[in-house]
Amino acid sequence: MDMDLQALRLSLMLASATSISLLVVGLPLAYWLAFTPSRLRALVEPVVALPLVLPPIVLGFYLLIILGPRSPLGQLLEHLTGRSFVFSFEGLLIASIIYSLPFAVQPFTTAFAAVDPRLSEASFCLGASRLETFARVILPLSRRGVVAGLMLSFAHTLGEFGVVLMVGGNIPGITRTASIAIYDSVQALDYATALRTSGVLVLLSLVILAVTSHLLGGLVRRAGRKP
Amino acid sequence: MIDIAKSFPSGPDLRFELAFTRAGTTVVFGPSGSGKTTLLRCLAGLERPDHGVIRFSGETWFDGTARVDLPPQARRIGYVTQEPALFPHLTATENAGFGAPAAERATRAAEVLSLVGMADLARRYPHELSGGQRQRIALARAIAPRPRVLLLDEPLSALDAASRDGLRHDLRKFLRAISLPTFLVTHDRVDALELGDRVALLAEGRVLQQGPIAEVFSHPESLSAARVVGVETVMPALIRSRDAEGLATLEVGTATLTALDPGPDADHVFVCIRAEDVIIEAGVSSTSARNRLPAAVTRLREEGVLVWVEMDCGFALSAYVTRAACRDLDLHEGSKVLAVIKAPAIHIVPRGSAGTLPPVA
Repeated sequence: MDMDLQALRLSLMLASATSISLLVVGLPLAYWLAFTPSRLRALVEPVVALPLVLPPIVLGFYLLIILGPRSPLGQLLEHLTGRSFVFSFEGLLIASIIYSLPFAVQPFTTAFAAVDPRLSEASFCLGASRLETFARVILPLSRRGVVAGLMLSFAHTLGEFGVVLMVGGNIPGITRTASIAIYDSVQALDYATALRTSGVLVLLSLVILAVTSHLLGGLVRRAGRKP
Repeated sequence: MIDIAKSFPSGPDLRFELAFTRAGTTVVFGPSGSGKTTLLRCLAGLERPDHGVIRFSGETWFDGTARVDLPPQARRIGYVTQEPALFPHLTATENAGFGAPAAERATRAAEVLSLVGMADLARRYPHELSGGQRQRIALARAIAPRPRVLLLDEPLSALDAASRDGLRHDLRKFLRAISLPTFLVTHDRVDALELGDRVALLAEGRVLQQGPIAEVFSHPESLSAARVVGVETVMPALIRSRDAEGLATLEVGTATLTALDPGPDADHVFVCIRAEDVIIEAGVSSTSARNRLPAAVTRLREEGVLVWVEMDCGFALSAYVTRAACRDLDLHEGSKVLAVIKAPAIHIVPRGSAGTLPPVA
């Protein structure tokens, strides 16, 4: 059976790495967005949300230029790591993190902000620091939002096309993801291969949804339910 | 000592001066909107006064000029709110042990849960408990880290009447057992009388009067203080005897009253008599009829169509009569009258501190 297993594996790796990175970057960012009294919030929030509305091809194009060998940042990165970030897995990862940022940060922020502030106050009065309160009160009570954000960013990375094509190009085993492999097959009129690769993606998406649903006890949170 | 001020864009400016006590319960008493909760939140470090000072046994918690503002974590207080705010994802034990050091969390949780009588429900989650049980666990949780001060913000007001009485009763024992300086915010006189040792009367963001609870409640210094405590006689009393018919004989000042027996559990009580429930009759007492007390009028004050009569009948007693009745009885300061009180109109509240009776005024 002919299908691009290499591309599928690469897509899964990229999606996993993106979700994990978003956990590291997204949780503190979401905490800040949910609780800061700073007026900077009004500026940061739209920047985080930008990838929601920006055409992926535009985002990819900018990233190609910013990470490319002619930009100061690209030169710095190349100087530090000894290689170029464009048309590489690392470049793809950076692009995916930025592209999926709102899909993780927004559910995180909403979930954190929904935790009753009296619970945090109770925790402070019991001597728990902000970090401890986050780990012992806010995070456990936000687990639905956190899982939802991870799932969304994973699925979103799996399906991205425009950004990947711009920043990564189409190098088998390095930047050629499943979406691009499907596009290639269709271009070559090899519909059978395209169907099989697509079928695997559909199956994968269903599995992700089923596992998430099992973890959360239902995908849609209905009003009035206890966590 | 506490001396703080805070203002809000809407609502009254608050300014409080009151004292921390070494032990015992200070009731912060006042109507809603008087700033009681804000005061407590400032003490907890959850809200920041605009200026002023909060000092606790030599340690500065807040100083507006020196820019000191200790976070709640550093103040070591136990704080219990009207809604228990238990952590919904944790069991009763995990809630109770939350603030205790990790090494002794389990033992300390068991200790404080049994202190509030919740040892049997240790493995329940908050949503499996009643309001009263949740509030007991919130109390246990608050004292588990061994705080230096306990702050209770209307801990009983979210409960229904039955569990309220039960918890108030247990809270009194609990407060005596832990013996921590406690601030209790309430607008309920029964809570105040049963749980408090001292009281600070609050109205419109000011402390009107503070002192021992019997003194403040029976001798409000000002008309606004009298409005806050209600026009009612509140006197410490001692139950001398009980009869088989459910009546108790009380010693109040130098007088003796008969009232409904409040139950065997308290001998030191407060008697509360509303001014409307006191009837004034002309004449002199025929020996010792029940609850007909010979009295001398000490002061008359006109309030609208009514006259507020203060008398000495072995203790200070207030009554309301109409102006017409006042004329008919020919009341003036020094008049000898009879004060008549029906036994069911004498409300008895167990006393927070079982100290000796203060001298009768």
